[in-house]
Amino acid sequence: MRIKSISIENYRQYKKLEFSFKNIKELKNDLNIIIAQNGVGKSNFLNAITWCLYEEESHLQDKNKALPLVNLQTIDETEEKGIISVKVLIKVEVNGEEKTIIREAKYAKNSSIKAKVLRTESHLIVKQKIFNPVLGYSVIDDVYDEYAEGIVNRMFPKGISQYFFFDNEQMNNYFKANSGGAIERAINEISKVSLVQNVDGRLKSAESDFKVDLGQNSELIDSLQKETTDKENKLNSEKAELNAIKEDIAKAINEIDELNEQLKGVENLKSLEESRKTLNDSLEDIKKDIDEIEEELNQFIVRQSTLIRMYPSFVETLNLIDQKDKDRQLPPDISLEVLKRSKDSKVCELCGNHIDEEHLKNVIEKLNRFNVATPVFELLLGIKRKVLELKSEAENYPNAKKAIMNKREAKYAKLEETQSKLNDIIKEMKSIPNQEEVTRKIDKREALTKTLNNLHEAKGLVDGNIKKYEQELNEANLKFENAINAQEKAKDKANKYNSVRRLRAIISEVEKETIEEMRHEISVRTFENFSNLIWKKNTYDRVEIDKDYNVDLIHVKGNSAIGSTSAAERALLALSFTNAIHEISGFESPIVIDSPVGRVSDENRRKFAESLAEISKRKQIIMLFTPDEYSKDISEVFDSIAVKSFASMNQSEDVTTIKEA
Amino acid sequence: MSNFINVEKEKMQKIIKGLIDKENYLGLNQDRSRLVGLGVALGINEPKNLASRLSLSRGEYIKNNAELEAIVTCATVMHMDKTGDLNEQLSDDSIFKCADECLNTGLDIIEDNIINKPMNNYKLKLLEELDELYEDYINNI
Repeated sequence: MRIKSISIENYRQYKKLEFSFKNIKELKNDLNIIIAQNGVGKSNFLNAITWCLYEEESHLQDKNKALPLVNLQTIDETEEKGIISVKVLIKVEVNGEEKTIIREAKYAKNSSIKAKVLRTESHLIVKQKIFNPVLGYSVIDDVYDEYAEGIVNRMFPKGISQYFFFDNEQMNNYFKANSGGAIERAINEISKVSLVQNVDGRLKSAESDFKVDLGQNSELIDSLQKETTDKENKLNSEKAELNAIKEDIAKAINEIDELNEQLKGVENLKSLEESRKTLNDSLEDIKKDIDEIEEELNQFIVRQSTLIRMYPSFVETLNLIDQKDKDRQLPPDISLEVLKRSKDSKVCELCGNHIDEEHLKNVIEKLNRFNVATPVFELLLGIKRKVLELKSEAENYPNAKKAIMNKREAKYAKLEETQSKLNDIIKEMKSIPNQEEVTRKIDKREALTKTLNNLHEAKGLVDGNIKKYEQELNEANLKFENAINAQEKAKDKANKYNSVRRLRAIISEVEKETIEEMRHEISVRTFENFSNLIWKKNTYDRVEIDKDYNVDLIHVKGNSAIGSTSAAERALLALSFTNAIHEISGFESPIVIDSPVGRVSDENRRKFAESLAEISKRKQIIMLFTPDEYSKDISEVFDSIAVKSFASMNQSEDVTTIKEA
Repeated sequence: MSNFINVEKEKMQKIIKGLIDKENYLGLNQDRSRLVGLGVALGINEPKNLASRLSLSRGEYIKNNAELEAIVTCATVMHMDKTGDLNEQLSDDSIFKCADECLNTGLDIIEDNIINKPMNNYKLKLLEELDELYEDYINNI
């Protein structure tokens, strides 16, 4: 299927536009590129398509939300109370046959307010060829409104329209946490389980009716029936709670993602601030250490200045003491009392040996030296030990100096290093603009992260409750079934009830299996497509879609990689997923993308463009770029394989035209 | 026997309160015993006799401090007549007199050092001076 052309009349900037999407046979690719400045109407070109097909403008920018969808110049030119027709016509080719989809809305100009129009009517028409058996040939048949919607929905199912018509923002958000709902809807749409779900809904209603009916036959059955209803209500209430929590979780995750995106490059402000504080504290500690070392050095200098200068006097004094000792003018270096007791007991108190006559003479000689010693000699003997210590300390000056200077140098080096780190951090912090705003966002992210943790805890509790109520409900249902099967009355009703229950169990199984199969198939096909397109080979192992329909890309090492992929990789994964949906659903719709490389970083743009070129060999792709986005690396890929057009606006900026380059 | 070390009162106060306290020269304001020890050591080669007296108690600065006692005794031994009467030359009075005289000179040197202290790295310069002294007094002996 391909879009052949589009005609837009009086829709937003497009007063009158006829545009054909050429498919040049010489070109292998079916690729149309429209280049337009911001504000010229890129997004509204995409909106014109979705408005025509679904009467929805899914890509409306804020500034346009307040404006009517009627072209402003046309409103000006229209007489008061005049009727304006807004029309978008899309010609598509399906299996060689042409179908024309027309959305037309009529607006009446309100005289009292400028640019105010009121919609009076809106229709969808599909013109298609059908074979007229009476005439024996094909004729053009016009199908209106809900019948036309049915035809459009078969070509471009609304449930998965976001996988046909999208912008870079959507591509980036494809696999965000709250996209599970959209993916679930897409999978349900493709697998057509909604049909099964409808049947189950009706059977459930019948089951409830039977239950109430059976309860009328016995008080026991009535109370058991009420018990099952009570359990079911509790279970449903918990499931509703779980859904609400899941939504909150998704919201929190997306807000955190958004904040992460906004804080890219500046998110380290807070850690910088923390590092600054830590380094400042370290600096203070180092300065205190240095003060202590400097004081130690002061004491060292004063002490060694004293000791080294005194050194000659120490030597002289020790020589004098030695000389006086040799001359036996000094009292012995032993206590007078010890000598006296040793003499009296004839046992040496120091070594415990017996003192013989010869040694006794020695003891007496020592005792006599006490008698002749003057206070001066006592003083010299008293200071001897201290002088020896001081002398030795002076001699050790080089070693002591080396130790203290090494310690000092190391501390100063640490001071310099820390100061340098601090300076770098302060410099980096100064380069971050809007620091208050950044800090606010960082705080918000922290708060959201805490909320997220609380939500996960709450989810765990509710999950537990659901399991508990499911079990209780099963038990209550079993008791109810046993009771109705045991009773004689209303056997027929009991059999019908049991049949409905069995049928519902089978349907539930079918639904589960179908969805499981579809989920598996989409995962496999998405990864196949992704592997063919991605430039990083052997990096990723598979795509997984979990029970909550969250899509994850699994790294070859087994870890989740979706959070660390680049915008280009995410966009490519989105395209691969889109393609998988197209292939599996059989809806071989064209893809229309607004600003496809809007979020893709420079280094990946070319590779991403090459991947898009590859896809355009198999299906029609229409892309809208700004001139900046259509950069050199992009144009090098597309210029030779695409039909390129430029959109421009008139001077009053209310009419856009598109011309082929 | 005198109870006081004989140093210029004003000089000591000037150095301690005016210079050392203000500049915290080598942390000397924190321990006056170290100041006395350094003063004696600095003035040991050129003791100077002065008449005025300062209220520095001997007990406080010397008698209760074994290290200072050893230092002033050694300073006195340096200047005494080794052949004379030791009892007289190493009496308390003689030791304190010698300490007074050394300290008087030492305080002059400290004052001069503080006033003429180089602005930067004065500690490193003092260490260089000590290196030379170490070579002269200890290593080369």
